Amino acid sequence: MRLRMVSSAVLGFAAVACSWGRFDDVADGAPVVVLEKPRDVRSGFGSALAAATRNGRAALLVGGTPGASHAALFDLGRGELPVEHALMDDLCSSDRGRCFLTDRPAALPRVVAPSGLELEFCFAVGAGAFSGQAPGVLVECESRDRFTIPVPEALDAALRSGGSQPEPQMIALAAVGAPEPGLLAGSEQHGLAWYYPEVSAAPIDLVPVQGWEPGFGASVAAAPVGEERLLAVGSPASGRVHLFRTNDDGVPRPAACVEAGPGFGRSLALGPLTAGDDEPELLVGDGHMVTVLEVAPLLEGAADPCVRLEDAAEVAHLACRETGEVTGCSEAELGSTLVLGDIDGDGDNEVLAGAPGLTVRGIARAGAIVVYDVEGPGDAEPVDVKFLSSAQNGDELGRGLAAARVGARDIIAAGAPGSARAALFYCPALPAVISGSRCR
Amino acid sequence: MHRVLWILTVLGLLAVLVPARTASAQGVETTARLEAIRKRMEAGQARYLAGDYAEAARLFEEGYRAHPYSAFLFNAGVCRQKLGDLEQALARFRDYLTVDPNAPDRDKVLARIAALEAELARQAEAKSEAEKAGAPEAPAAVDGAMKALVVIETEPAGAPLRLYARIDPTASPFQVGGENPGWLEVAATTAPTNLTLDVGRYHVVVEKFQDLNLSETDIDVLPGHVHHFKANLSQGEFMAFLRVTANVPGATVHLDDASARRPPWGSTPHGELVRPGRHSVRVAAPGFEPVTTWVELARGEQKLVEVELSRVDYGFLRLSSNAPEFTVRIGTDVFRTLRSGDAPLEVRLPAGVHPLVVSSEGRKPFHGEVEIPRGRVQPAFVRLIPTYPRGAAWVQAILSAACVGTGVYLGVESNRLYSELEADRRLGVLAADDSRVTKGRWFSIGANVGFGAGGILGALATYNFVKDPLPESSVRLSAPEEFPKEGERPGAPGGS
Repeated sequence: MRLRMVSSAVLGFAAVACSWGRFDDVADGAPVVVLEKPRDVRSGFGSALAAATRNGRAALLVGGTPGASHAALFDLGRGELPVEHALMDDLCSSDRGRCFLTDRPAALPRVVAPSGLELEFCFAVGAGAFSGQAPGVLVECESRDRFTIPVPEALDAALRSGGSQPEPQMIALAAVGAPEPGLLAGSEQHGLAWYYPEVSAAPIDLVPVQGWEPGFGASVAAAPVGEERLLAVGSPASGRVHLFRTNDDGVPRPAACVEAGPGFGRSLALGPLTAGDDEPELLVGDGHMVTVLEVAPLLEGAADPCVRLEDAAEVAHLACRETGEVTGCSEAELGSTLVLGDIDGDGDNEVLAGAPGLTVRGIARAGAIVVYDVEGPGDAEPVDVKFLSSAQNGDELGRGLAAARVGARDIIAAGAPGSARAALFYCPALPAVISGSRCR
Repeated sequence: MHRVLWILTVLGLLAVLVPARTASAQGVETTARLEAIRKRMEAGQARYLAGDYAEAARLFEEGYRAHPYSAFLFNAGVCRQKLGDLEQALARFRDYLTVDPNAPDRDKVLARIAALEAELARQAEAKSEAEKAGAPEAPAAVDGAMKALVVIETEPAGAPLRLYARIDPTASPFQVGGENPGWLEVAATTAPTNLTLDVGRYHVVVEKFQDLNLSETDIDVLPGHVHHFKANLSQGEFMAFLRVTANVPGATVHLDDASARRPPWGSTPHGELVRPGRHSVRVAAPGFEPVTTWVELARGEQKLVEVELSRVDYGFLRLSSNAPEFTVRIGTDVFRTLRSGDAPLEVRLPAGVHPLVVSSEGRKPFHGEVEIPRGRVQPAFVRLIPTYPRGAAWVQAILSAACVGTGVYLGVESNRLYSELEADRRLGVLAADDSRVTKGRWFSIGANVGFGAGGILGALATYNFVKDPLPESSVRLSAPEEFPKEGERPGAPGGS
């Protein structure tokens, strides 16, 4: 009897162990799709991401090393079958002029070019100048149309100078609103932030009430609030985040200011956490944690002087938590990228915080995306941590981050420039309202 | 020719009786010669009684050629007559009288010759008539009584003697100087003498000789026998004749020496003149339990002692092998390891069947049984066959184990990777480019290959382990041998 059981066990083991087809089955329709790095994107592929969705179809911009490399455009399709190789791999290419790829590109699903041409799936990819055109913010579209938006004088002058070896000019970009999106831009180098009510409009400088600050414009975020638009500009060197709000004439004016320690404002996100919430939340990263602020109380106050963070109402803190899978929170750089996205399809946004310095399964700086579901005031714990099962040392997943709208939910798009990869995470760990075939 | 033989016989007898020889030496020599004559005579008699007249005739005639005593000729004649070869029979009887012209039964033999001649003549006539009539020839009746050889000696030699035959079975015992009705003097001669006599009772009277007294004795003559009588005149009595036989030829016989400290009296069958009286007879032979018996002999008495020796209850195993070095286990006892050049192993064992195991490095062990005969040496040669080389089988088995082990390892790893991938899939972090997918797939294929190759190699190894074209080790038992004679007995059993 025992011999028969042992024999059965051995045969069963052999039968299972010998079945190689199961690996095809388990990998078929994997919940994480890794996009192929285009050959022309020489370095840092995955450093900058932006996703645009229009008419149910999504496209993803994946950039290389900011200021030094190209960007590529991927078609994510309408469902769960993205095209893994790039549609375009020469965005922000120096072949057609000078382009300093930003690490915070902005997606423009639909835009009317200065020429009056209506374009889709366009991306503000950085600062520079196409051949024969004036310098400015470079916008490139899936249709290969491109145009330049003028920039403030200081940046314009910098972009025009430098000869053949100009100093890279890095800007941060954020789009807001539809169908005619506005564009918010900032330049930490020049301490500038400016706003385009429409991409064909002239830039409007954003100036803090407190006057010029070094590092102002290092990070930007924008969100619509009814007919108005709320703009956030980070000044991490000063530890401040300035809020601007447009009025009926569309011109933004200082509305509030929050102040904390140095680094505060390194990254920003702005948007409602709860579906139907008219007042968005402001998410501020300082490199170690993320602070969630209710915007409404801030707007009730004055823009000057800045409100101390501890005095701001309804504050939640999102901190890193080590688990069996991820460790090294002290080096995690939690919140170096911040995105809001409804990844479980319940209508509420979750906070996606890139933590490129996290150690995953013992792999140093493999990086991860930490997901928080902030339901209300108080500290929130991570509800999900997304990393690559094929993580490698120094991947720094989360250095680039975007939420791409696919169907009725968002998927996480994250870059791992250390291994020149960009990955799409289709399956949330949260109980998903909408779950695809990849999630089983 | 017969005359020559007669002369040679006489010369031989004279040689035996040469006075210069010592009496003892003469006695031993006479005894040995008479024993040889007796063997031939008894062999012929045995064949005669068995009805094998031709063989009996041949033995008697051969005996005569070796020992020219007339009794052989007479007996051969009787056998020839029994066979119907009357001419040859007639020739033997004529030779008989030629060799022994003073035979006591001369008249009877002459009458027999005459009868044979008449019969031959009648047969010749009858033959011609039968040829004419076509009738078969009827065989003639034959007096089939064998004669015996009787040798009579005296000490000292040369004494006159007379021999009387009892012709009336109811006659009274012979009285020297008496009338003795029913008794007939058949010979008067001097000792030593040999006589060919008919079966019956005789009385021998040795006359006074020199200053020694008269001696006398009755003798019973048996057909086809050799009788030996000797009168010790100084003691005034006839010596008795003791003959000892055993079922074991050559067994040593000690007379009046129960502890066998002196040289043996003889070896079976052995007969010799001995003093009348009570004697101990010890008969022993290697491999047999010695037997001691007592015998009472009257003067002039001829007595045969037949001893039945039974074998001892143990034997010896004499073992040798073709292997240069081997170990022997008999039952639970391990004996010794013999090396090339050592004498064969000789072990004393109780008679019966014993389990035997003989092993040697690099050879197939022999497992079997050996039967040790009682009182004998059982020679055995164990042929140890070299073990069939299993190198290939071992290599295949090791490779098989390695393949299966690799298969198991790869299978376990494959399962582990699959479990990890499954877990990652459930976590939603499984990347399509995860190298563990390819790794796990190859591990599974590797496990397949490992199990397959291991199975094939295992089957081959099993076959090669089982395959054995060489025969099994065997033992060849030779015919059991007798124990060596005294002083040559196999050594005590060795071993541990």
